[in-house]
Amino acid sequence: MTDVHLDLEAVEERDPGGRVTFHTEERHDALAGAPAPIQPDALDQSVVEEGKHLWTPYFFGGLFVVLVGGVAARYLSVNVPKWTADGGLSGIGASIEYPIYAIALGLLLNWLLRALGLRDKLSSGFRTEFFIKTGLVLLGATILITTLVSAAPSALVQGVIMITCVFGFTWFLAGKLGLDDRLRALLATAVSICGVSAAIAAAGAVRAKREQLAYAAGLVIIFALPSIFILPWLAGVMGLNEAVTGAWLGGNIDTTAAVAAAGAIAGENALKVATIVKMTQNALIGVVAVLLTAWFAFRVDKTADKPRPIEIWYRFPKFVLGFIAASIIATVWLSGDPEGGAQFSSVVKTLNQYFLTLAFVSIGLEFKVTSIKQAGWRPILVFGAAAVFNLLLALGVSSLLFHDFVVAS
Amino acid sequence: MSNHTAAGTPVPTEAARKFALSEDWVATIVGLAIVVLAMLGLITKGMLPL
Repeated sequence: MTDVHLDLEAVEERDPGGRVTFHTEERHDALAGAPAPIQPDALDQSVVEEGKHLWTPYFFGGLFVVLVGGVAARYLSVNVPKWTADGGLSGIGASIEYPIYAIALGLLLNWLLRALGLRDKLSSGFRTEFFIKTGLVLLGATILITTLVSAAPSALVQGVIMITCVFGFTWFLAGKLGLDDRLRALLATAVSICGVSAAIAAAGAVRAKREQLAYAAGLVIIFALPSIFILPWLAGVMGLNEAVTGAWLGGNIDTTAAVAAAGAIAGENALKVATIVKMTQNALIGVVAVLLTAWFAFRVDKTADKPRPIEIWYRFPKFVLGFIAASIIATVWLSGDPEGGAQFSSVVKTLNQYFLTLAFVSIGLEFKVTSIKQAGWRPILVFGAAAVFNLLLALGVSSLLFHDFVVAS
Repeated sequence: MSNHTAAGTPVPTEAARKFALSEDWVATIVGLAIVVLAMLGLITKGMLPL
């Protein structure tokens, strides 16, 4: 899940001008296949930031920028279809969904702030994780618990198959190309589970280095952004039904925010199935983190801490509980008050779209490629091959498991 | 930000976990609070301009 922000104590060195610098030897150790000298700004500040920097004027400034972008995106998504209704562009105007406006405006603001030298300073306010998680809890209130329960077994089977096969493929290929074990673990976890969130959990489990985490996170975003637009279009070209489309998007796009964006473009029911599938995959991160900790403790770092079962709970994404609770509350409420339910559903859906819009603006604001340029071609090749494998496997598995699934309304 | 250590340092998992947990819980609480307010009719369609 976009899963993009991580707030940690920063450890990079800075020169008197405030530029980030690294030691060349350490960089070679960290990123196999990266012989080039380390450049300033190699550490992606949008990914690795300091938690203590919250509640500063820059935090509120960043938040304000996200809100401005969100209001503008909503305004455009509501009014462009009206403005173009009578002209030759009516089809195009009506077909552009709100995630497209939000991401495009986020990218535009990103460019503008970068030109003004403010983008990195304000980045602590770009809270993609918070916006997407709140939006998904609200989405839970629009999904009947019966839908959730009926989709969960297929989603769980798909999650286990996808994680096992994609992780194994990525780990194997990265090993063949001689990548460092820790970077292998980060890339394999990121591409097989839930993007940056998974990479963060894996980084803790295998004691990865900061630049490895920043690099894996950068790759996730680079690959996720085009997927948001291309995969819903491909699903339409292939004639997939909404349930299979949702399961495919949820099963192969890495970050939760990008899954939500692609699902929203594909349709309301596709978004619901995509969210259920993605959340099931997210929920398995705790199990994978413990297994990785065990592997590195017993096979790689003989002196490392041994894993504890409680880690599964620590790593469990708690907002999944909020999503399920919202679904239960809304189902009970709607069954008892069908008349008030229409107003309730309309309000919750609108607020859900508000939060998702803010998350999508944040994705655009956080987009950054500097850390990718430093690492050479081998990790990019591994991630690209794994992404294609993930795409094809998810298509097969979701077609098998969701071809006759019906989303209850 | 601290200015004294170098890249290559393992990610401090405790700091990451504490923040990730709080953001997860805050999102859950805010989301559920909105659901309850909408259920009680304290947030209405007319209050949402766009």
